[in-house]
Amino acid sequence: MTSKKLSKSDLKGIFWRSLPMEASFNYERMMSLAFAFTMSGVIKKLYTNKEDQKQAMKRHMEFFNCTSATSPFIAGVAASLEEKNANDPSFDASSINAMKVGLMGPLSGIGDSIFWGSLRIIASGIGVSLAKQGNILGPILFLLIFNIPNVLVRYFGTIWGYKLGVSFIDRMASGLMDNVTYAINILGNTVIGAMVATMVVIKIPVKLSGGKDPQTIQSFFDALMPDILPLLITFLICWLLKKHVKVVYILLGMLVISILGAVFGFMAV
Amino acid sequence: MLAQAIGIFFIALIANMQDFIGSSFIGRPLVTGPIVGLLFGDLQQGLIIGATLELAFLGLMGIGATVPPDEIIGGILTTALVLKNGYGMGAAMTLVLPIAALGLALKNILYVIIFPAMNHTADSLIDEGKIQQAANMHLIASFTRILMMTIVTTFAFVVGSGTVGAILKMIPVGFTDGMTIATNLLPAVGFAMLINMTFSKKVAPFFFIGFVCAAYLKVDTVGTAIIGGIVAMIMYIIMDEIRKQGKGNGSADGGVEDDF
Repeated sequence: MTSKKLSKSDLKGIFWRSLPMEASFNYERMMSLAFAFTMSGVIKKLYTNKEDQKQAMKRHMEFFNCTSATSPFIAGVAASLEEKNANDPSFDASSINAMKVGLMGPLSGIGDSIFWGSLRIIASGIGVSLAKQGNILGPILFLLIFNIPNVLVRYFGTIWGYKLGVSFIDRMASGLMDNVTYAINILGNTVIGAMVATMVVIKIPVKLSGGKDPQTIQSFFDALMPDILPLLITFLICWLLKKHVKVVYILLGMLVISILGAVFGFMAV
Repeated sequence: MLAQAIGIFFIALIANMQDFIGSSFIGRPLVTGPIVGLLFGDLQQGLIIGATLELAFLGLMGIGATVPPDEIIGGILTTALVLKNGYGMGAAMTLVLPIAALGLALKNILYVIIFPAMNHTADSLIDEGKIQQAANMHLIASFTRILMMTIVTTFAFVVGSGTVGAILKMIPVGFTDGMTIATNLLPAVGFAMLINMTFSKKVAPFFFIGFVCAAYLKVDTVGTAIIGGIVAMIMYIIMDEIRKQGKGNGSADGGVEDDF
């Protein structure tokens, strides 16, 4: 079997394609379209079979959200796993997405605190103080202080992510891979569980009783179990999807309910 | 006026590309301020307004899944209207938030309706085997937003602040609030798709560990990911021990695979 290998220029391709990571953000799958775009180059190189290309693109069209500066690292790791998958028919492709989900939580946390929390504050602090004195260096330094680390982390993140993925796979004996995949799936699902609780927000302020401190539907469910409403709505959508209800209808339904909820006040912002 | 409008169009076009070029901050008020200043022949004033607006937007930044008011249209339009009409800084500050909020409301229409629809177009293109076209949906989506926000910025500059305020009042509160509610609700769809793909009896308990960590214990996502990593390692060690024992037993009683 001829083994397919990604070259340095393929990895550079991932880096370039990852630059517009936030440009097609949306609330359904967040940065999935951008991630699929980032991976599309290596997918076409690694898989000669059209069916394999389709499967790989579908994988990367699933939900993805991460700080954009740390996302190329995940793309690098994903590329190393796609490479393994293209060469090894026994490889469990579901571990690719499990790995992505497992990495996006920690890397968002690190990326948000470094880039949005620290670097942006430092850059705007210096930039604003100079600009207020009418110094044109203000905006220039602002851009440089933020973007030099921003670009470096993206570029080397892609390469390191790939290398880390490859060395990790190489060290794995074949029998171990199932257990590794299982462990990655555990990590991935723990993070999904946390994200359902934190990123899905439903507020239903409908009063169930009168008086000074009235019970609302919200407080009733909160007393039952915190964040149970997001959990229930997520499982409801899982069930609808299993019943082959089209996602478009689910989206439209949620949109209509949201607007009606705001108009009639049974849901709050 | 025409020259100014054309100038604003190109400044807005490049500024709105900031998310397309590595989230590079080229559309922040601190950067667009002096450029708009140049357009109106007052670089110094543009710098100072830009710096003031930058401070105003410092506290508003998309962290995690939240999207803040649109600083790009806010910065460009406020600087331009102040320099054109000679408003003071106080008037500028009262203008900036409604303008930025209008920008966010418009972007939310893309984020909630148009881009999800484009996701589904990409899905069906993949099903038809059109890999390149599916990947290109990302570019189409990106430039839809860039062009839309550029045109809105230019239009708002041409009609002026009074008209912008009147238009803002015309949008029903129910609609904008409904869009905001939807932004909190829609991630559930993405998660449901993810769950349907990776969920099994063997990983279900760990999903709930993550949920309980976040919902009851209020651990943040990084903390939960660390806990998930530790649990994954523990399970790996256990599974590995079973695998080794299975091997040992297997060779002892003649190679019978232990199916656990």
